Amino acid sequence: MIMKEPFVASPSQLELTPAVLVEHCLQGDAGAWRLLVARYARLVHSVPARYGLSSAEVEDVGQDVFLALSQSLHTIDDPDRLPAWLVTTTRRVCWRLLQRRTEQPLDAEAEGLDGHPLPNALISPLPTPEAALTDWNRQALLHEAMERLGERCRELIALIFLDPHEPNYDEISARLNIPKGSIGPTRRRCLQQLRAQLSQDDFNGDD
Amino acid sequence: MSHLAPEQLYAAIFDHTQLGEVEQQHVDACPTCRRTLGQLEELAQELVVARKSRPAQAALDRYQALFDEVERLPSPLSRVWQQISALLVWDSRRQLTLQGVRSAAAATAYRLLYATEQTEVELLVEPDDHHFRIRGEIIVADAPAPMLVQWLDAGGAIRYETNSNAEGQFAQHGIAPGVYGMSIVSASGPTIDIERLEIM
Repeated sequence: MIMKEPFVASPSQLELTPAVLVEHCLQGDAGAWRLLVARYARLVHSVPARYGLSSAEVEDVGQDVFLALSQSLHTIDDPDRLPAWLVTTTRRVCWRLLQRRTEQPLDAEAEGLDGHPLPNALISPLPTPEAALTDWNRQALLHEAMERLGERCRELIALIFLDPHEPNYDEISARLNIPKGSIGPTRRRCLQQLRAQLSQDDFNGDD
Repeated sequence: MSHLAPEQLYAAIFDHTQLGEVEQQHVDACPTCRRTLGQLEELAQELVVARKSRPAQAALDRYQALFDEVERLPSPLSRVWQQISALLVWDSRRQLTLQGVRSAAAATAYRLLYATEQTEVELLVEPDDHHFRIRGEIIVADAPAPMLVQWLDAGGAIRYETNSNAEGQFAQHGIAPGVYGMSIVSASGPTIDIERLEIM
């Protein structure tokens, strides 16, 4: 198989459209696939994470979604709508996982073909599709806003809020070489800066 | 009393510090402080989701290794995400047309039947205040179970979604006229796709 010249992720390549990435993947470019995974893994994870699945389940969902993507790349009609495809697929994978986990029908109002209420209809354990897309976009906005912060603030917020090990203030003080007593006030200033960035993006929808 | 200080608002959300009685009374009466607290709460929640969503390097490595699975062309091999297309086998509007009923094309209720080798999907489409209501039943050969039913736009985004009950019956209200893809997802087994469903 002839492999294309691999991608080396640079800032300009981060602007590549989903369609271009998909095209390169289909032409055998492993670098494009790496870039695609790096770009969308967090957002795929955000769907099961938001709805309370465990870390292991979140990764199981991610594995199924990216496997499905690898097998479906050539069938996606509009590759620039890849995020929508990923949301749809991630919801299906989550639904399957939750369905297998619970297997307990809940009551809901719905009607059968005869017009009578359905006795055992399920209430979806997932939010509405609109909410899922909104949630997805909010995570994207959050991470874009983080990227626009100064390095010091970005590091501090990442350590306090995003590090899975949740380091305490002693560890943060040592890692960032700042006095422990200044972490709290600095955190507030950094959060204010983050909010200012997010307000430019209409993060709360009412700013 | 002027608005609460930013330190108090941030501490209330990010350190879970209890507001004093006076401060709480102010918040109860002050839309501005309540709004700020609400926005900080949203930010705190998004940061929690962001932490839980952050992929571990090992997970990223596994996903990136899936490049070996990328199919450049349709493959007969078993796929994790099997999809089967259901074909239209009966349309009540067509029957009315064949019988010479002039109003067959008007916005009246109609039934559609789609089928695969193993499954039938019957849909009753009814006008519903400039929109439509779809009631349906999924009839499968083996034991039925709850299924996820989705209507997708041309780009593959979900427009409507509901669940069937354990008998395979479902209903969705408020569907705008248009052309949709429809997918029926089961907990195990292939997804059934109706590739073009005209609701009008």
